[in-house]
Amino acid sequence: MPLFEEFNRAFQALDQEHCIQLTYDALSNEIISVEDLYENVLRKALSVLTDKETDPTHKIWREHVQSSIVRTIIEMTYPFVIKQRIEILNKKAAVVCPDGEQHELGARMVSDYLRMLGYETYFVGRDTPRLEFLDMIKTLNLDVVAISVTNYYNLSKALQTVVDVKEHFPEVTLVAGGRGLDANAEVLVKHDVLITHDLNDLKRILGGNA
Amino acid sequence: MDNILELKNITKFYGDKIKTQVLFGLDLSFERGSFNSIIGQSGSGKSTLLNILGTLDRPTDGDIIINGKNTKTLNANALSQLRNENLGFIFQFHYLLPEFTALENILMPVRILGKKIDKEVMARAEELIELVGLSKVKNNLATQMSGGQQQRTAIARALMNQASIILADEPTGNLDSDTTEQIYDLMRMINKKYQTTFIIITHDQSVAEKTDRIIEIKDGRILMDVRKK
Ligand SMILES: Nc1ncnc2c1ncn2[C@@H]1O[C@H](COP(=O)(O)OP(=O)(O)OP(=O)(O)O)[C@@H](O)[C@H]1O
Ligand SMILES: [Mg+2]
Repeated sequence: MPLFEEFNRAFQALDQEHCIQLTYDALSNEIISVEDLYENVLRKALSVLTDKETDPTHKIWREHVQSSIVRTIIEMTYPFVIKQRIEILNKKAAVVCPDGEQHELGARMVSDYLRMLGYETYFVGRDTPRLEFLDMIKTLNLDVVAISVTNYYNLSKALQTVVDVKEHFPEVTLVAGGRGLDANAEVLVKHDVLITHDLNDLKRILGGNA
Repeated sequence: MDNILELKNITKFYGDKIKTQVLFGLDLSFERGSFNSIIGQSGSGKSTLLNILGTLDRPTDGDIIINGKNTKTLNANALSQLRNENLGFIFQFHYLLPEFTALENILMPVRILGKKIDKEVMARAEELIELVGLSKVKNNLATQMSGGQQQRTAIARALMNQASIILADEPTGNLDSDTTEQIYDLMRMINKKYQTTFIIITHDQSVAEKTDRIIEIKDGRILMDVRKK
């Protein structure tokens, strides 16, 4: 059975052990790369999940268990991320979700992509207060800030954050991604934020030869 | 796209001697059957905008087009007819008439239009009462209902004339989170069942994030206009 189908079957059955064994073996035996795993297995499995708006039988507790499975797999990939690192740049990046944003799995994957591209990467993650962004950029001396927005309500805070950062640190490169931007990229593009969907976009925008 | 409601270059000044500008040249349109929210800080101009959308207040300048009809040239009578036939309102404080029962309050828009309360009208009122879950308290005076029940009465009242557009100003503003969710579910169900267009001002993230479009107003201008899909 193709990897995704087998994974998804276990994922739907909430069979954590099987999900982890499958993906670990596939990475170890170099059947797939970390990028394949994230794009064609994990993201794909997450994207077919329903939500309460479209499916009244949707259960949040299931979603939490599934998120936890994905999180465990992402944490497990660390040695493979390091192994698949393309080069080492002398640059720093942070991946952050704006105020109010509780979803951070997408952001977590992006932090591994940045690591693979050679950035010293800080995963800051969910619900980061808008007023702390400036302090974070200064303290960590960041070159790149990646912002992840899943719930489109949080675009408002993301937008304010971007305006703050552009005003105080115009030299910092801002990238953004996430489902919240799918229909609304222009809100941030207007403020010179670069939109990225996957590793290829990041490579093109932030890779060593860019 | 089929726009049920359009605003063109709306400005609003308050005051005669000392004029303060509250809205600055807003352009907005709403698709038929859409489910929208308006957010923004206190004092940003949301209620002013909604009252203008609902023709309860006139803009200083600009056009409002409802169901293809420009309201600018209408006299007061024609305007109130257009309003009563097309628009329903829900406010945070629901303005039910305290000396009337839930049922009587729901029937009020029909009386205002000067129509008879016949069998058909009663059937619709009963259907709405059932829909919003008020069957048990329909004969209670407005003052003898809980906040959530009063708000549901206001929703049923807004629907009585088969309004194609419901304008709501903080409809869950004074409700607990469970009741807020019920009121949201009710509005969404009505939106799906009757294709009613909703424009909801809310400070409630749990409501706004479930609507299909969020418009954020800041200092009388549109800061952000985003869609879920
Ligand atoms: N009738 C009025 N006369 C003069 N100024 C007014 C009037 N109504 C509102 N304003 C002013 O217009 C601005 C916008 O008010 P509005 O009620 O539209 O804000 P809002 O966004 O609805 O705020 P809130 O979230 O607190 O309800 C405010 O500065 C307010 O003081
Ligand atoms: Mg208001």
